[in-house]
Amino acid sequence: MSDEFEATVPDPHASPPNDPLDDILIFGSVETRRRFLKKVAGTSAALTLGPHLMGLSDLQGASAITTNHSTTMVDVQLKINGAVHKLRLDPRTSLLDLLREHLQLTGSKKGCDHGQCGACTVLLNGRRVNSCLTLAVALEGDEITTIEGLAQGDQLHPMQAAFVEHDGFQCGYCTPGQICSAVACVQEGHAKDDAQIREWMSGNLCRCGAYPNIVDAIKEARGKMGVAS
Amino acid sequence: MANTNILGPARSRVDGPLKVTGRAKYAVEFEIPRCAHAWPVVSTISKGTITAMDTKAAESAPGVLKVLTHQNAPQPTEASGGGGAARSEGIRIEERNPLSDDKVHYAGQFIALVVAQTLEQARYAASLVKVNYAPEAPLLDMAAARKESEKPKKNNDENVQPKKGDVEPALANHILLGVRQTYSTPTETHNPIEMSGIIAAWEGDRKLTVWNATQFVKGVQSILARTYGLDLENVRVICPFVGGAFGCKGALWPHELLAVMAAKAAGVPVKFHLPRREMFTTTGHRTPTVQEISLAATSKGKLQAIKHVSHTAGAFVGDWVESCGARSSAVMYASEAIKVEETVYPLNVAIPTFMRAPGECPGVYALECALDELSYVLSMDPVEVRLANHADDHPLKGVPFSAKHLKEAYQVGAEKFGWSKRNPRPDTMRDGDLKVGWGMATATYPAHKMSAAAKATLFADGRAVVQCATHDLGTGAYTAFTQISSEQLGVPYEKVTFELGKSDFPFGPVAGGSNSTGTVGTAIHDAAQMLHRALAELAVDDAQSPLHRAKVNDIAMIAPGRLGLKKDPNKSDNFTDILKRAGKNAIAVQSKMEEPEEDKKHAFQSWGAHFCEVKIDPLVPRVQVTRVVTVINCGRVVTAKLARSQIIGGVVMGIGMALHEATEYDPKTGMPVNPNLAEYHVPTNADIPEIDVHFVGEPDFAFNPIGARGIGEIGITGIAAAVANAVYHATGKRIRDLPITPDKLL
Amino acid sequence: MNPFTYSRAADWQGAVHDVAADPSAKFLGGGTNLIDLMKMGVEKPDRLIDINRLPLAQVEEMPGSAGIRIGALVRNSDLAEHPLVTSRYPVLSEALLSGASPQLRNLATTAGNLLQRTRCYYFYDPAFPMCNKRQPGSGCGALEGYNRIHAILGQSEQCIATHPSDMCVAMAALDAVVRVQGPKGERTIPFADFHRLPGDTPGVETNLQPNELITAVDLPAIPFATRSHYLKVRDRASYAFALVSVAAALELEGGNIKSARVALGGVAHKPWRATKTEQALIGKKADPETFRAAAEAELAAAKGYKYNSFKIELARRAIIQALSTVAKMA
Repeated sequence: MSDEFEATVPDPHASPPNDPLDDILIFGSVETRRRFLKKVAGTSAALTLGPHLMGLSDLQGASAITTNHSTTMVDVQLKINGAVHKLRLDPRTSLLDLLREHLQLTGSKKGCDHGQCGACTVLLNGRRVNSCLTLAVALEGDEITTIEGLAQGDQLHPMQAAFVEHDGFQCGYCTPGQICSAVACVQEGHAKDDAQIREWMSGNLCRCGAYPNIVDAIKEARGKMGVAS
Repeated sequence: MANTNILGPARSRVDGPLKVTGRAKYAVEFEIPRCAHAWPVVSTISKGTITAMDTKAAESAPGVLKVLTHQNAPQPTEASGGGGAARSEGIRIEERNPLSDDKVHYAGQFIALVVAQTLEQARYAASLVKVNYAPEAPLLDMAAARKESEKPKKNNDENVQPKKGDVEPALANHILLGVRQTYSTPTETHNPIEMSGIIAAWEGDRKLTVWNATQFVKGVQSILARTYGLDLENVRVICPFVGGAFGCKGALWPHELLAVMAAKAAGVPVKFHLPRREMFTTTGHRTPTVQEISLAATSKGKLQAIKHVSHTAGAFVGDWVESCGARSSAVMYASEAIKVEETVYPLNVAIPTFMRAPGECPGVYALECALDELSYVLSMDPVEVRLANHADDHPLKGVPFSAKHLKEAYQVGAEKFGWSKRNPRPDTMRDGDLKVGWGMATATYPAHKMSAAAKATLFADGRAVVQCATHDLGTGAYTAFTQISSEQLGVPYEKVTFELGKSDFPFGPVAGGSNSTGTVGTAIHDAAQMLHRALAELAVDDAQSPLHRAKVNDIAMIAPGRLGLKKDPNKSDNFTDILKRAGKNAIAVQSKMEEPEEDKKHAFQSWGAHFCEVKIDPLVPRVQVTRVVTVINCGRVVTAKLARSQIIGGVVMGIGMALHEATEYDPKTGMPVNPNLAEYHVPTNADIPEIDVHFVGEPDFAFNPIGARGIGEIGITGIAAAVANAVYHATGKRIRDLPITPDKLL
Repeated sequence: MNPFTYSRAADWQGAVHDVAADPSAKFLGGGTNLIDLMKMGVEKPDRLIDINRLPLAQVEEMPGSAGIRIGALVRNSDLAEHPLVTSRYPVLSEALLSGASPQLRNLATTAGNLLQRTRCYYFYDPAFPMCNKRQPGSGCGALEGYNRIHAILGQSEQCIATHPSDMCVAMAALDAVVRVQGPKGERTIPFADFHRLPGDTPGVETNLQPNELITAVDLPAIPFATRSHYLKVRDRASYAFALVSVAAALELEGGNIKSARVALGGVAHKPWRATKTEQALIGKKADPETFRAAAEAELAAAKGYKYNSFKIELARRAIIQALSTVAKMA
């Protein structure tokens, strides 16, 4: 591995004197966008790269080198949509990856893998959770319901039917998470009015922007779900 | 058959039941036997050379099948790039092939790919790859890249520095009233909820199948075939559903090549679902812009000059021009003189690409804010200023806009919104303690026409199957084309199946530029004409047909499912009867790929008007949009319910642009600091009010036989300006740098 | 994510024993922060001891007082809507409900929230080379980096990260006490002493020992906490970390302030108890002038950086707003 080196780099900001551009408003950029530089030539501090920029990157996991590589597989029985699955799992497997990669239950979606979008929402003992941040091995004894478990045969769950009717989606990718979340939202009693629905559905991002239609769908479905609200 | 209603039926999505039950299969959800998983290693510097890579630990980690680096990656036979101009052959924005050498051009660039049996193994092993760099000083902001900056003349065929007359005399004329301001927009990232992803599977060395999240199956097929020297028909691209795209799945990106390379090197199918972080660096973004707008107008508000000078960022791994001025100031208003300038500053930042209304979106934002500022200078109502400069003709082409109903859009929007109750003075309207602002802006987007072909098969039992290698990104294509097929073929909606998302089907263009409905709709129209002609040919030869011995040219569809003589509709025959008597189970036709005819007598452009209300706490000033009315004039609306959703979606994304969205970068390393959905703030449900959408106008049959100009992008244009203008109206503070976060209103 | 072994703890004694025996072991609670950080490669435990089944999920009245005891594993969503919380400590309920999303709150636990780690970009992604918290001595990437979300109070040259929790801000205002079990038995840590300022050891974020298990958080009786409020200022309407937040409770007597509890979020390495603000409020009339002066008192020491100086003014306004809201409560 090469060693660190010190480098003083020629000023990349240097511009010819009396450049007419100097007098107009420039510039946005990733870094200076907010301060429109009137004088670009004034920013001529030499850029020195410190050792951390240089190199040597044990960045990506130096300490992991000493870590135990091996994986102790864990036997678990999980109850998903009423069916019991006997599984031998790498404990690192998230519930989401278990569903999608091992059980072909691809209805639960991966939109961020970090609990930031809600596309992976499933019902765990009736409560909505992010399956991407849940380790599958920790769920023995729990009841897991995914989007595939909501309909009764060909009969859509009222929430599913309402999403179709109100066009509560476009691309459909956040939709299973939205629907699982919406079902829980109504059951929790957090769907009393538009403002409450909006707030309590904010853990499910929809980049297509179907939010107003999602609110309409939930309002319709809440009356058909037989939940006292 | 021409349908003259502006609003098509309010159908629910034909693919709705699949989507709400989780049965719709997106690209990486196909079950492919023996499929391995890939995880990337990306550069942590912005510029330099990789001096060493240590992959030993990764290679010996459990389950690892292959670690690809520039040292061992099987290189494609076609070096790089291509396809930029010849869009039918695919689109490359990042032209450099991944792992093609040891150079780093931006932070986040792929420098290795780990393939392992499981996702967990691949992700862990990737963390074990060690890299040494010899870094160089990167160009990380536009101010630093002035020497390298360029004024491109063309962006493909588009003149990006258009000009009409001379703006300078008017801008220097002190009798005229004017505005000269600079508006800036940050890097914005598409962030469809489905991250880009691909499964690549080789069958021997000569056959390749990819299940790929793309807006352009035929483009991907073409590029992969060229890149690997394969016969076109031996490359199959499958993508029945796309989980949103907004532009980031339009070009072929490095991860797609990487997966194909990895599958070849590892000898097994490889699935590569991009981590969200890499969606900020390896699939493009909307470039940051700084736009200086200068306006000069008479005291009556008549524009004498519009000058639009834009500065945008480019990159070193390909070309991208965000045509801000050419797509806004050069189109929207009748000004005596117009001048547009565009300068691109290449940076050591990942390359930008087209994102929903590229050029129009930032360009219209800047111009529509400037016009709002002008309205205060003139003491005129913002709507009146726009009416005073309404362009009946295209300002540069000098030909009339076809089926333009913008004035009606303003009128309907103002009425639905209650605009007349607006107190024109800023910082005057209140709701309790909250400041209330009303703002408006014009929306516009051109009507694009591309080439496509469709195959239509009519069965003797009355069913029809129509196929085209087009795409449904959530746009409603399945439904719209089922609807168009039903109308054009004359087959009941319930009996039509429309299939898309496979390279086996006839050519469909990239699902971009809001072109699909018109382009593929036209192909369906053509296929329907051919089908009717084929049926007519059977009928005229059939002694039992009432149309026996008639001239084929005298026959047309006179009612759904029925051919008859144009001049004597009493002589007619049923599609299915014709087929049955001819002893045919089915009849199939495929329309021809033809370059779209150019109508030089018209300009084709969609229009709209946004009216919006914001409420802001004066002490803790977070902007909440509380009401939006949007009126769109886009020709015919094929499916009313879904079109409304598309417009709402554009408005929602535009609210994000106005208030929340910005990809920010570390000034030292050039890495994005917020490449995730927790800190890149797309709007949540709580950010979005009711959005009242209306359509006005008439079908634009001068544009295409469907009468539709497309709706995917127009919704996002102008809305950020409407919000910013409302914020000014509420507070008296003009924020010219998006997004308008609370700190800027202190 | 590095490989690890997984086991489920049968009781807290066993859990503490197991963690004490293995320095690289960690407790697994809701996992919403730990699993995320493991995916990022920031946390690399060799062993996870799942404590989710331990009987620590009750909210109960404390014997002999009007305070409450919150079990370590009470989920954020349950705590937020527990009648004892909504009736006695509305500020805590509001704080919890302003955090994360309903799904995350269903997973996240009380103890886990106490141990939530900063959202500093330079900490969260090991691709950034500099972070004294993650890698002591590597420098602080935020100091001269993009530091919009960073600290204005109590920071050091070593670290300007902020604590991201909302719940903790309310608990700081409410004089909470953290109960922990370790190899030597139980001990209690006053909330103000639980989290640490970065100083020279930003990697050491709390005074919890590695072999200790949080079992509960006690909230003392604060009768006037019924008059309390949590104000969170963020970039979007929901599902976002605070730019600045304020937890406030006031005891008023004839228009004058008898007692006050104020804490700030988003401004420091720990939930920031605004003691100077509180002192400046006591005995004064509950009016905007008092609130303004009280805000100034705390923020006089604030220091901003290139991108976050706005937080000083934002915090000033947020304090005034939160106190005004509380003062107006019936």
